[in-house]
Amino acid sequence: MLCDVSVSTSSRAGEREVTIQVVGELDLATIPEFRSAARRVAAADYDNVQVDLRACEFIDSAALGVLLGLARRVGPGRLAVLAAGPVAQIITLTGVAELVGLVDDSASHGTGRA
Amino acid sequence: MIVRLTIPARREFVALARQVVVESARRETALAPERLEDIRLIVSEAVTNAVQAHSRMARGHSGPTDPGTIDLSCDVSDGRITIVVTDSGGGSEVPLDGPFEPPDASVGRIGGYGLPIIDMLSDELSVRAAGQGTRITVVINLDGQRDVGRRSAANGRSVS
Repeated sequence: MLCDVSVSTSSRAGEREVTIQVVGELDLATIPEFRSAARRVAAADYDNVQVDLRACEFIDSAALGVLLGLARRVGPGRLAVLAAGPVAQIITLTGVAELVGLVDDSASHGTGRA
Repeated sequence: MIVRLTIPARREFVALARQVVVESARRETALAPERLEDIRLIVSEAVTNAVQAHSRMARGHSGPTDPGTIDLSCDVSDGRITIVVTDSGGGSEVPLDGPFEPPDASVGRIGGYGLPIIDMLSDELSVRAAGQGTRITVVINLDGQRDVGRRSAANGRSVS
């Protein structure tokens, strides 16, 4: 399974924002690219960081570790993780939803794919 | 139903292992979609641990080395699905008898979530030294609901 990680930046109301979007599955084989993108973003001092996992079909514990590391680096309230379905569920089940700023998009996920 | 799979101990094969076991379980059981997702994550974490054990062992050698193989089986019988992952990666870095506690994320520690996640999502988990490596055995009851933490709360650890 291939995985695509892209980083895009924008500016809104004078705040610098960055989004890391992941399409595919995040596991041992594909996590290096995600981890490296997270490190670059964390080092660049953006006002708001968003990780868009809505098109990501699977994450493992290593991916949770990257999200937690990113949350710690960017500081409280500045990270939002958009996720839906099983990916949102595992973030919630493992008790880190609040720490990583999960925004559960499952409602639109379900109708969007039906 | 019995599935047996031997894969190279390479990170590119973790996705294949997930796919084979989840598709088998989907065809052979009436498990709810969220339980199939639990199995997907369980297999991924167990096989990832095995691949990483082989990688650690390979780093101890100079020059190109054969990554070795990982054996995976999935049996459905007596109302249970049993997943066994056996590596020959030189032994586990975790205490074999648990408890498989997740790290405390609130104090900023990351990593080490693999076995705690398997423990949380399954009905039984055992981690044993086997030959030149480690064998992880996971049991999921087919009639069970997803109810995270039920074992720990009800009757303590069922590590056997």
